[in-house]
Amino acid sequence: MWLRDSAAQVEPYLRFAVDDPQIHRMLAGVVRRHAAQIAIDPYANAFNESASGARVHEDRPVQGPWVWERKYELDSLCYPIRLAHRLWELTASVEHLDDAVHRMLASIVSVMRTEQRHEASSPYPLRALRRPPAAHRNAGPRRPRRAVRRDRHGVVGIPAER
Amino acid sequence: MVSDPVAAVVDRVIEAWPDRDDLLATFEAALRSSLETTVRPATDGSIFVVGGHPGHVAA
Repeated sequence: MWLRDSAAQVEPYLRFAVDDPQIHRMLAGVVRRHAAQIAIDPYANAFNESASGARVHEDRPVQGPWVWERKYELDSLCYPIRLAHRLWELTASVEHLDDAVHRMLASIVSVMRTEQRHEASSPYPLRALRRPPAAHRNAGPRRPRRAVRRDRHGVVGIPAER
Repeated sequence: MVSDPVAAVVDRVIEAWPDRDDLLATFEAALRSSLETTVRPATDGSIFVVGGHPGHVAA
């Protein structure tokens, strides 16, 4: 579940939250999940459904078992705020704005302030050992490889294309 | 003026659809299907939304 994408995925249902308590409850549940996820790691942008340890790649420091990807993205932190705000704006309900959401907002502001002065004060290195998923590695056409040759002095050369 | 190609396509689909009730029913079915496949309620009342970038098996 991506913070940004999940907020965008449910956004088309916001207009129905005014008259439909089930839709309202569903959207409030997404906000609640955002708060729980950001409490786990405010630098992560995607989370597992359970503490499965699944991950897209090894990040440094190694992410916890809930975190699918640990990558700071400003938009990933903005979208949960936007969803919570729009739910309040459309329904006038503050039920979803509980203590956990207040802690989420404080955490987001803190991270944003820190990353405005990244070099001076951030604990976040983004030294990810990134390997693209297999589906990406194998995607698209490749140029055929040409044989590499050494001349008598040991200098490596690539034969000219014909 | 900047045109919106997506909106233009949607407008053409709406105009070409023979039956307005059928169109609304189709949209409703698509929305319900999307919800049923992506939204997973948890025991604590929160909602997990299944996502997926192309190539990711996630999360």
